[in-house]
Amino acid sequence: MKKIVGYTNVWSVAPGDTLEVKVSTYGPENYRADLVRVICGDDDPEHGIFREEELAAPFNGDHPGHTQEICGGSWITVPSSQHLSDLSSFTVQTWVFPTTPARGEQGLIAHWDEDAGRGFALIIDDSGAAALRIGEGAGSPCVVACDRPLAVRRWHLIAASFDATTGEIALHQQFAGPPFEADSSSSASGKGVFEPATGALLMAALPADQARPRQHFNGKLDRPRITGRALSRDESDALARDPAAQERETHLVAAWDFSRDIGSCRVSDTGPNGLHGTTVNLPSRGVKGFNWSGNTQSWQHAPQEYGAIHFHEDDHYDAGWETDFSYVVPQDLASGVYAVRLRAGDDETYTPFFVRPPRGTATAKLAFLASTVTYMAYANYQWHQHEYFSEVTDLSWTPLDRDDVFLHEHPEIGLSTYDTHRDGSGVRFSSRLRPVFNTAPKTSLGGYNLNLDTLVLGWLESCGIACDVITDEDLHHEGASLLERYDAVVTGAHPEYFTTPMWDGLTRYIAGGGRLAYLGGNGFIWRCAMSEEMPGVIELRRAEDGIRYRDEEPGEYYHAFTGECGGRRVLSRLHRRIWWPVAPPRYRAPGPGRRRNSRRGL
Amino acid sequence: MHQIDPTRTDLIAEFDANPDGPHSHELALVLNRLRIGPLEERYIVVCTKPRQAWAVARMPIERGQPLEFVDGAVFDNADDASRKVFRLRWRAVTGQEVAS
Repeated sequence: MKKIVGYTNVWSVAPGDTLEVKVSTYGPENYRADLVRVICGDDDPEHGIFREEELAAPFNGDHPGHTQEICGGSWITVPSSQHLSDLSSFTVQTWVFPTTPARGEQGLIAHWDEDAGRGFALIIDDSGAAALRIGEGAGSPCVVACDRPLAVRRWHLIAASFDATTGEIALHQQFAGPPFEADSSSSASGKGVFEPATGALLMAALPADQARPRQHFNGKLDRPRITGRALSRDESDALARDPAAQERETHLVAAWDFSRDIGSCRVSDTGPNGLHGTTVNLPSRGVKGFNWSGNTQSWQHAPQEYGAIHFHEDDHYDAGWETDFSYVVPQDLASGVYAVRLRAGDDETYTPFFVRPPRGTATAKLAFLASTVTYMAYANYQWHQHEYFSEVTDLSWTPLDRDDVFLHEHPEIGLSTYDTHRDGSGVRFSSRLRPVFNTAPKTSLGGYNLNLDTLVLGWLESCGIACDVITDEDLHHEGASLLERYDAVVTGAHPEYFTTPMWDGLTRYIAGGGRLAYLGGNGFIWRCAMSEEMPGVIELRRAEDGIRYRDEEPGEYYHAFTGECGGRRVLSRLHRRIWWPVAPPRYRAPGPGRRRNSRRGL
Repeated sequence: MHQIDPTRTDLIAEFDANPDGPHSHELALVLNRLRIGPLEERYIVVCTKPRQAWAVARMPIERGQPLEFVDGAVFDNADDASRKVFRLRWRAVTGQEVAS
């Protein structure tokens, strides 16, 4: 049903900045793009208040359509290296905590050339057991597999070795769960031939073409290591438990330590060859390792116990689409909410952006603080599709529209912080670097998003009250100095998610005599985090008690980006004194059984 | 789990008259029962064209699989789609067909 979707590289721009517009079409050969100023996005004809203003722009007009794909799922990539392509005998091993071992083949550590059938791939096979696939590039690959499936959400040490002098393969999956549970340990052996691959090494996926791996792994890996000789089982076990791998093993090729650089996408090799890697699509870091003692809750206090990374087949950060066209924001474009309106066939979509005044200036006495961090938290919210009890709480049948159907059929586009991953774990990252359907005009007023906030902006405009538009991300980066140019700041309907720099900036502004009109409900509740290294995404750990859609994993309450504890800012004394969120969360309370009417077209 | 009495066609009539509610306590119990089932193969309302067209579809067994649209279940208003979903779920739970 959807024929066109799109997004922009940034949401907040100032005059002179360049906006990159990225579009994908599904069927139509052409689409039309137009610049509009969004005055009020409520297009319910019964309300009669929808207003947008079409504006001249160089990109206005027809453009050729094309389909751009999204590669969902997280993994690690390690660039090709002579140290890997010179392997002869080897051992590859890692601690593994599978969350969906029964979900078909999943890559763990693979230096594998699929086309040539050369290299090695440590995997979970179709039966849910550990397996090693090796090949020399001729004939069928040799596969050695254990005969017992891995236990769900339990640690195992998986180690596979190949001895080039004998051709012998040994594979062990060693259960490391509680002793009173069924033991899923198993071993297997065989013979094979091996020639190393030459490309990148992947973890948590198998290579297909380089940009789009397949067979993503759901679960955690810890201490992946490769040696240049075939280790015995005891040697593998000792190496796996020793944090100082290089001191123990003279034939060490690589020993990745995920407890380093937890807030980044860097993956450090502590071995002799510096085979450093990169995470892709934001797997969860700062998570409990195989050796978590339970004595600490923060990865900062015992990083050696947080040496795992949790991967999901539906993690997502940056769609990375090609830019269809760019737009340099004119110097005289007034601050406000704008969008590129995209139309193809009978379908329409908007990619919004926020034009702030020229940096360092204010062009009005009042600033509207667009809740872009909250928009990200709710981006592509799919709770209704994924929670069986959503209808009971909402007193309606599951209501989907065309955008929802697209999201449902394209899980690679990623989730919101209200959703759960395919393996049941909570979503911690939500990005704007992808099509975001519920941050746009003409969308539901029942969600906590931009469209609801345009009711405030439209009202200000109709009253003739001039205001600049600034965003959460601007406040995060610039702090109180951004606000101090204004006599007053007004919020939208639901400024729920705040980073600490945002919170500090706002409270400092108020302490300095600034005036805040908080026109919403559920405001300033959640502590969330943003990364300097990876812009356009928020991290949220839903720690502590209170209303929530999921419980955070015990022991993992601290954000990887910043090390701050997640949870509710509402518990702070200052918050209770000033902003206890008692206002209704929606301007238009739907009432019993009416919620579906607040969704688009329903 | 609340047991639906399939002879209570008066509750069907109450729903038909006012799909959005508020509903009587007895109908609310029935609706809770119809709505608490598993996500898989759940009948739902899909707005296929804003304010113009609504369809009834069935959720797939697995995330990411296409929705299965119910043949002929296309309406020009949300209430009729809602009534159709009520009937399909009533039949699924009680085994009793409800006249359109």
